[in-house]
Amino acid sequence: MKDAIDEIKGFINEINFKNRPIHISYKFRTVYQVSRLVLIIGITSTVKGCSILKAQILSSALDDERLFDQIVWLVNNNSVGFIKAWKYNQLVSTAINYSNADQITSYSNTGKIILTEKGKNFFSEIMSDEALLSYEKSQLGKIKKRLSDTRLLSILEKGRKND
Amino acid sequence: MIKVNELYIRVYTATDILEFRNKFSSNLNIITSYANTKGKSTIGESILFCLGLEEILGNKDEKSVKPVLRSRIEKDGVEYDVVQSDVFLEIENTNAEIVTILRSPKHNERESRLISVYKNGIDEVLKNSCKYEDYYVHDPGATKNIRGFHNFLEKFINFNLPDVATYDGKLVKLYIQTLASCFYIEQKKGWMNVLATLPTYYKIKDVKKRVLESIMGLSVLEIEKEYNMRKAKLKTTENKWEIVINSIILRVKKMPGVRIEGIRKKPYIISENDGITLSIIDDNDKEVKLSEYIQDLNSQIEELNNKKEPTIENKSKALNRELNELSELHDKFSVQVIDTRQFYLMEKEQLDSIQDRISNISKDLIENKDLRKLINLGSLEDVYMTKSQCPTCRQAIDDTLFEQNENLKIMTIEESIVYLENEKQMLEFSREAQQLIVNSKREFLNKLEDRVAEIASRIRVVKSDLISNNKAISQSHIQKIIELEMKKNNFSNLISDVSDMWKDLVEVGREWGKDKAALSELPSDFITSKDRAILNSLKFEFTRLLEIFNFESTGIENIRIDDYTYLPSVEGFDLHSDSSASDTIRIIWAYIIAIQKVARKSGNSFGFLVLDEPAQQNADLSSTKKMLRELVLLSKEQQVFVFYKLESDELFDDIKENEYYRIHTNDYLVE
Repeated sequence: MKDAIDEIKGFINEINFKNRPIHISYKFRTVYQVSRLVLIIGITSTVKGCSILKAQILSSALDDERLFDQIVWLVNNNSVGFIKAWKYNQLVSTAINYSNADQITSYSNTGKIILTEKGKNFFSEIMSDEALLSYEKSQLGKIKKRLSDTRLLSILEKGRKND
Repeated sequence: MIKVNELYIRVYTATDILEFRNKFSSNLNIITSYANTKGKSTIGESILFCLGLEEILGNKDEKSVKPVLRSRIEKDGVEYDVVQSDVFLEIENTNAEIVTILRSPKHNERESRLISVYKNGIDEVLKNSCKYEDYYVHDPGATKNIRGFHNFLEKFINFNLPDVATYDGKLVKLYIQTLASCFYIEQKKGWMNVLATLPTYYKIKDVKKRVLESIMGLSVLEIEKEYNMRKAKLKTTENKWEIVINSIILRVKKMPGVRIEGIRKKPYIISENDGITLSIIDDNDKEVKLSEYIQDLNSQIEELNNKKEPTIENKSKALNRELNELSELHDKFSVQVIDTRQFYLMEKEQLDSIQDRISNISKDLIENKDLRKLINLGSLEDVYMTKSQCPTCRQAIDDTLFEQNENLKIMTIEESIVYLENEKQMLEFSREAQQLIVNSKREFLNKLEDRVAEIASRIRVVKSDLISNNKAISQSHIQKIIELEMKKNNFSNLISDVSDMWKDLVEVGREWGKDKAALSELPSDFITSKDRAILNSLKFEFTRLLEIFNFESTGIENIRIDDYTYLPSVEGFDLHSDSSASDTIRIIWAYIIAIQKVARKSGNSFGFLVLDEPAQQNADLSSTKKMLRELVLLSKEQQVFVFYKLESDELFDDIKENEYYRIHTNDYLVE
């Protein structure tokens, strides 16, 4: 390989690269993660807000259908059981920071994430267009407000004991 | 063609009957007054009203006539209410048939849509009680219904009006009202442009063009219809070709291993030298013609039949030899099956992976489009991240949750959508190509598997023979004959079926050739040589008249008659748009007079022309006089009415008294 490079070195004076923009998946877009966060808070949480843990787990579940099905099963059957491993996602935390900075969400006194007035308007605008983020809305609609933070903690506790 | 012989207007007030009655000349009639609104236009409007053509005046029924005929009339400075009014019009056609038309703008017992037609002149109608028939106008079906007045009028004038397409996709008879704008130039809107008063609310497609074609007798519409019919016929034949070709391919596909050559997807005329070849791979892996293969099968059958006492004892050596050969063949094809299956699965996997990528990209695309929508939502208007700005320090940032890196450029959502759409399109092409490869591999694999199964079955029979009683008749021998016979019959049937279908195809090819030739016989611009001659004569007459009328806006030699609109144009532009106001009047004079001449010669002419106040826009006296001279010439061939408000009689200096008939109205027309 080194010989080959040495051989062509004599013919080439310089190599130019153009820094072209690259495509990234929608999942890495700020607007997507923030919108998803707003939906999680708006659909599955009460006025008291949503814990960071719940935002992380439901975000993870929206990327993993099996995990979501397990959570739905536990919620539907009012049961506490083992759920599949989930991954902490740095992107969700960054999205929370962005939405706080842009005053779409804020932290409540109890440290939970709540929607600001702007966030509430944004939430109702997303909900009024049926086609917009339809997968996310239909999935979260299966849970509604039945997964409280206490309930989520007891599920995770059970999972930890089983480990 | 018709001419107007006489008009009689009768208006009843509570105390009096007021009248106007006048016979007209068959040549040039000039109706004049020295002041405005002395009822000149009432004559023209009454003619149109009686013929049910008043729509070109912009209104229908009694609303189209002056108040004098429907509400208030003045006599000796006193105004009276109109109680009843009747208009009688006597017309005559080229067969010297005379009818009187009665229509009442205001009448208690007669609707204004009702028209009575007497087969007598006005004199007789007024003296005696003549028989009449009632018709109606402006009702649905008035053009085709036996009680429709325009149906009667069309026959009386001897018009032949075509069926034309509307924007609703229906076929309707070209309304006679639309033709009227070529024979009656109304005093206000009529002088704004050529055929300015032509009604367009009938939703007829290209109505101006259709009217001019009908008036000049151009066969463009028929040619266009014929062209569409022939094109549809050609399309049907092409479809037939496709059906026969697909039937042949389908029939051949039913026989594994047979290949076909010489099939063309597009139709052509099949010559005697053309043909298709059916071939098959024989046991020696050589491609042979199917007919030769059948011959070979025949000789194999004959050979087997000729063998004496096909007992196992006699055949044991041959059976052993065959078993070895079959085993070798079986092994060979089995290996091929394994290899081919492996290739097939590889290609299939690639197809699945392309399909997966398309699904992912489609999802990505939908989500990106959602994001675009989200950004445009009202509630995010003052949100910094949607403007690619940091919400804290307002610096420009990329729309990503990754750590910001100035060396890494991220596409915007718009760019991502374009990128994904292109990517998806490319992958869809690639999927199509890959699908073809997978199909062909699957087909080849099927053929090989069939062949292996066939050999395995033969091996079983031979093996069973070898372990049977030596004196028994060889089962394998008989089965082989049966198999060969069946094969032969199947292939023979295939050849017979395909050759039958080929005969059909030859026929379809011949039909297609005829259809194609029939289509190319028609002129591509739908203008036949006869039509071209008509358009040339229109152009000749039009430019000749323009020259006489001192047209100045552009060089007359540059003027053309547009092949599509039949209107005058210069270098592709409407002549009217480039001309001065007085020249626009000259264009209308020249075009209308030229159209009369062409219509009378080759098309549909009403037989009379009405020009209401043609000296518009202060067209100079000299050209108006020249126009009048042309009208005198025209009136030798058809009836002409001209309405003038005059300053003096100087206009008539150049024409002789016996060349025109003048009606001058000093006071009110109806008195």
